[in-house]
Amino acid sequence: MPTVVNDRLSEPADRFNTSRKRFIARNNKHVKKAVEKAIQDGKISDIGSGDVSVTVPKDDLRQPRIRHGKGGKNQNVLPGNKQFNGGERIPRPEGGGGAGGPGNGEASDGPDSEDDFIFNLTEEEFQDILFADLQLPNLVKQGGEDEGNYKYKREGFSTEGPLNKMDLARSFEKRQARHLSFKKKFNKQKLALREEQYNILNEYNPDYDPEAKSPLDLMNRLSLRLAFFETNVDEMIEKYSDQLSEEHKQRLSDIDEELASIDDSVKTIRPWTKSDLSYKRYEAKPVPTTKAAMICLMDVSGSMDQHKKNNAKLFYKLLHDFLKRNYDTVELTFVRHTTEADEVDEETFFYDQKSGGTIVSSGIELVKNIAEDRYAGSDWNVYCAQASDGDTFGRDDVAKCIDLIRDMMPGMQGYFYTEVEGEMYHSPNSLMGSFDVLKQEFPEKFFMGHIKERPDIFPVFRKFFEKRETYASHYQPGPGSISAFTEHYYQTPEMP
Amino acid sequence: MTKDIQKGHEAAKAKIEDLLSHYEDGMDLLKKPSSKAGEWRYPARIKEEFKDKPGLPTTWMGVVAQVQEYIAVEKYDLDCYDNSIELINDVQMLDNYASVGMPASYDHWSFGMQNAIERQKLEKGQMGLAFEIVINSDPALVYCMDSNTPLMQILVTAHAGFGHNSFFKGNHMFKEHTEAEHIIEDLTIMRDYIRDCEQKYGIDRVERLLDACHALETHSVTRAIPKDKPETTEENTSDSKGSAIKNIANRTFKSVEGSHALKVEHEDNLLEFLSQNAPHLEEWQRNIMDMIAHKAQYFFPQRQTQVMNEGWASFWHYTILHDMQDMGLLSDSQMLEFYDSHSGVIKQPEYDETITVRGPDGQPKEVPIYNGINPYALGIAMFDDIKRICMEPTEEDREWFPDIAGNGDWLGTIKDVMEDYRDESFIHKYLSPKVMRDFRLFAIVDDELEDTIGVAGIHNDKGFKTVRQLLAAQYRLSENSPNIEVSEYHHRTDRRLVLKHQQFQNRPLEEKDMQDILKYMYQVWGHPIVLESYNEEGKVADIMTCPPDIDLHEPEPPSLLI
Repeated sequence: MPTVVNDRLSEPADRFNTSRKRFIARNNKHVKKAVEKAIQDGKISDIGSGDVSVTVPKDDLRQPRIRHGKGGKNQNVLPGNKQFNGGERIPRPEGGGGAGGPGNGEASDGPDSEDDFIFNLTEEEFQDILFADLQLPNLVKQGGEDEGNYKYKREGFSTEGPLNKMDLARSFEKRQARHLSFKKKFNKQKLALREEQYNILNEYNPDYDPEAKSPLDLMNRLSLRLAFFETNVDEMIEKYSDQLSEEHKQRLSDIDEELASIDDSVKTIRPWTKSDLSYKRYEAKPVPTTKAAMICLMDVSGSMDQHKKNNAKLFYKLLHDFLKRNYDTVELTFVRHTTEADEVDEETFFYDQKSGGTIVSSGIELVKNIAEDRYAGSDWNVYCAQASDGDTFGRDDVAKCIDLIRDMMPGMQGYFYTEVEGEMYHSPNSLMGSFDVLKQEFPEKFFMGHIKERPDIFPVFRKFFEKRETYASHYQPGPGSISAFTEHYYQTPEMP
Repeated sequence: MTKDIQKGHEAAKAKIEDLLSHYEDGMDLLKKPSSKAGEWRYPARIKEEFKDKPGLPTTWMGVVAQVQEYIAVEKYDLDCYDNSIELINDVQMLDNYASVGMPASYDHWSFGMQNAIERQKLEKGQMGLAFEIVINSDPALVYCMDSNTPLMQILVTAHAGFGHNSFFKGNHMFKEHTEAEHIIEDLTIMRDYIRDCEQKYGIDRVERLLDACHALETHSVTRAIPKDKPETTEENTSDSKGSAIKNIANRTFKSVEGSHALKVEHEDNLLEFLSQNAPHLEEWQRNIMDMIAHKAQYFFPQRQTQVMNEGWASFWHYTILHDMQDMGLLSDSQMLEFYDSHSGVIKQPEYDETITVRGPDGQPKEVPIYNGINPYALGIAMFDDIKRICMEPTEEDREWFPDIAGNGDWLGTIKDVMEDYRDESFIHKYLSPKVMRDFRLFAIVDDELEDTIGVAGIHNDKGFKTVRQLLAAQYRLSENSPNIEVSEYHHRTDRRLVLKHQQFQNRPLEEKDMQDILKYMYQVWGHPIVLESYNEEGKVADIMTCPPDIDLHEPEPPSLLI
């Protein structure tokens, strides 16, 4: 009996992922509270650092068991006697301890201390909660058969396939049909032969009148006619066998032989042939996907101080995580502007330092160009998220911004304008006031938010992307989203 | 008898020497790692000329297990299941904790919580992980931590792979209550079935049922297995349990005279009773309940043989490692490491023992370390002592153990003991005055009616019997787990189910927990549940009901039914 040694080290230790999700879902209200608090404390930037801790009161962890309570008579045997003698009486220790057998400490399944249980959410779990009920608005364009996005669909039948896909009913039907068609062919041949026999024998039948009505006239079905001939032939052979001429005798027996050979060939019909078997066929069909493009536009001009920039970047970080997490097909483009705009990569967008004057329209113009060049007329749902402190160079530029946005709005599914306010000074004539017209014109597509301090970020974000009942949504929340559970499932047992 | 062991020793030694001669490192193979690689991953390099010879272990761990098998089987004739050694890391070990080591588990929030709690404890350094976990299956699964030193791997394979393993195969409790060859498959089926039900009937419905099942798990064991348990054959293994249950169900109901109720006799398996008799359950619910009861049954022997099982395994790792040293397979430094580890495992702290630790404030603090009787310590001390009584008995031993003292066959004796006893009876019969003296055991009685605690007995001639009896009782099931049985089913009136709790030494039930349990039972049963607690004098001490406000005087049945 050889011992097997298995190295399991490379296998994942995730047997309880689902159980953990359910534990978190069960304590949804505590988890949500912790996440809300993290948001209010402005801890959003700490996503992933794992310090969103959830406190679950010990009462919510309790799993009842049938066990003894305190009281009655308890014995205990203990090791390490030093001073006691049999029969002695000793005072009861404080707290009534001392009397606990090996089983009296019956390990509870909950945390064994008196404390509430505090645990940290992983980044993924935190984002699950954070983004659970959020979605892109107006995500209605569909189409584009994306490569790699297939679903298997039923596509008729084939004669080959895996056993578990065999359609039994259909296979039996086909087999039956084949057997019937063969039998019909043979029966036709038999009928002709039997008729010949019948006619020969009738020559000896004194009662036979070819002109008279025959039961045959009423028989349409092949099998009935055949049966009629067979019975009559059998009867007549018995009756007239003595009178038959040699020639007829010979012919009749020849026919009998032929009939026998036909019967033999009936037996050769194979019970099953490959062509009988019918398999359900599945074919990979491309599935139309819903694709979203987000153009991020950030003002990095001199008036954007570090405080504003940090808040703007945090907003984009949130947006970035949200889109990556909740959507499969999403394209992010990054644009920054001072007096002129340039498209940059993610790294540069978030980490590069650049500064200068401010002409907001330069950025919007680039966004418009990108939207038109890359996505116009396509099946992409295009969005723009702009962050600025609302300062731009002159009234003319404000008007230009509004015109540009108005121009591109028909091709866009949503425009999110976020104004970040400085610590010291905020322009009373900021873009936000001017953009109000756009909000009037495009109430379902144009959104504005105002961030002053860090804790404002998430509420603005949530307002932008909250689920709006009236708009169709084609996306499901990503896998593992615990929004699938609802809170009321997880209350402690109630009496019906 | 000793001669046979000596013969076995020679045979085992010859086989081991032959085995190791196939490897580059020869007799040093098991020593090497501690001085050279220091890793159990150290390669077992087979000599060039034997490369194609079948049956040679190809890993260092495989060689260790093979060597120990020669000793365990050739020398001591231990009967073991095959071993399957599974090397795992700490996170995987944590996973095993939450599923009591089982390789397959259904999903339930409580396992997720358990896992989170343990993971946190581990991260905070409040908990060390076990070096191994072994599963009573065929083959036995021996999980070994990858962070173990080579010596620890040698120790744990001996302890688990041959100690626990032979206990699982030989002990009558395990033979009667568990089916080692089916357990993994059973658990996998159970997991898949429950997942299936979640899909069909919704996660929340399944979860509520599991919550109720878990609450009743401790009382979902059929304690007395009928003596004439049918031999399981290939065909009837799957339904032999079912038919046994049916038999119980058929015989348990009898009409109570002068009442409208049916009397239920000796039904202590609550979950099984509910699954068989609850009027409104769906088939899948009954199936899941039966499965949980089946699982509880599997763990039943573990709870009752802890001292014996750990004692037996420790006795054998000690014995096997000494044999290995004798044969020159281990180095001195490895033996030092072994003694250090071994003495830690079998240490029995005294009841008032403390250690000094520095708190976060830097001040030294006395922390009590007594945590009950250490089953490893008591178990190995007793098996060791039985060996001594067989081989070198004193006058006292001859008086206390006339049937085994000086019989010269220690091996046969401890094997018999291992097979036929469980903790309670083991201690009751074999706890010797010497072990009681060594442990300086004393028994106290704490009666809530008295102001002070009484010392019932200590480790002297007057007290031996009392101490032994009380320690044995401590491992008795009814001592730890309240005795609750289904008593009556009022099928003609409000279908109430009456449970009877026989108090043990007037100990009450944990009331808050019990109220919740009754709630769960009410949800499953669908009709009122009444729990009557009887004290030692046979009088009703307490009544709990669910719903709480039901009329204890049950209504008259409709006239047609009388």
